[in-house]
Amino acid sequence: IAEDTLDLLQHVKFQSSNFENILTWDSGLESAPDTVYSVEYKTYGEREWLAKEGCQQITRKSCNLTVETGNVTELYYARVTATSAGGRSATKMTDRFSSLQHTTIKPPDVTCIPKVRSIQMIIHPTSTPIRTGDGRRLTLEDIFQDLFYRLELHVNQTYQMYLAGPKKEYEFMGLTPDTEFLGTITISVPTWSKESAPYVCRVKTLPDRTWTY
Amino acid sequence: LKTLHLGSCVITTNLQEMRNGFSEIRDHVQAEDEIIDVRILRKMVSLQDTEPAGQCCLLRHVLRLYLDKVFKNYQTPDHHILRKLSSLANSFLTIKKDLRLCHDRMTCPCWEEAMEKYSRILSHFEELKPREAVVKALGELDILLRWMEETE
Repeated sequence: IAEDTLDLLQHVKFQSSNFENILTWDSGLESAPDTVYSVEYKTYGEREWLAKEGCQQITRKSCNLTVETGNVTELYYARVTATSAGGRSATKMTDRFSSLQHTTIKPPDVTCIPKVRSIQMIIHPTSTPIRTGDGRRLTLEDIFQDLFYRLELHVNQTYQMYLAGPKKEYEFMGLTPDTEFLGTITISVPTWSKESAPYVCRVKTLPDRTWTY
Repeated sequence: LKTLHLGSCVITTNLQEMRNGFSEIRDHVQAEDEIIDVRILRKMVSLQDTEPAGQCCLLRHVLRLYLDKVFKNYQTPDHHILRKLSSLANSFLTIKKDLRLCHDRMTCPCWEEAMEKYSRILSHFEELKPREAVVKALGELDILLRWMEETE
């Protein structure tokens, strides 16, 4: 790496989560605060680099390229040019970026509903910035055909209950009333070896108010 | 194992294993490809957008290109990469044998569309210098694997 590149600009890469694709970089070892940055992007296989509007001559070190890299079947590159006040400049490019390959999955959005002897868990679909031709937003479930959920209920130190599947509603049955439980729910996409961090909910089953004679 | 439906030719492949293997070497191989204005496996010649009946023929020819001209000619001192590529090549060989069986059973016809697409792929490949073509084709294995994935 040319020495002038290192002290102006480094670590140019995409950070992608649920298909929100953010280009980030770091200033160099001795970058002055007044260094400005300009971002360009291109589709792999095409000639032109396109300037990203809103990320020209900026001082911040990130740029949202979600829209520009929104076709999940395409591959992209982006590059940043850093220019110091003294007029020195350096340009660095990302690796080839595929949002299908690189995006990480955020924890699901779940509603945990305690009952007397059970806990119901309702998983809400996760929408992404990706849109169909007619403008409809795609969910993770639309994009990943083999996406499924893994649910775990910690009953005590040694005993857990498990449920799993692609559907959205689950219920852990046969629980003790008026007792606290810890639930964790993760999203898994085997084809792309992706797994989200868990959504965690701590809930207490309701007291049993039925009178026994 | 994943079942690929290529017209009336149906085969099973270890697509997940191939994808996992390639993902370990992808960044390295793609970083070697400095000609990012050119793509060999372009959308207009994709497998999944080919008439189902011709998909088997197209895949057979593309796999032969990889086996005869890509895997054999890629050189690197990195043994990890060589091991991964060898495993991928073996998987491709297995698929090609299965497609050969379809061919023998007359369920792998080569019609104009498939042959025309393959000749375009070959010309994109041959427009590049040999070393550049090999590196680029390897870097595009994720595209080929996704093509196979989407042939349902």
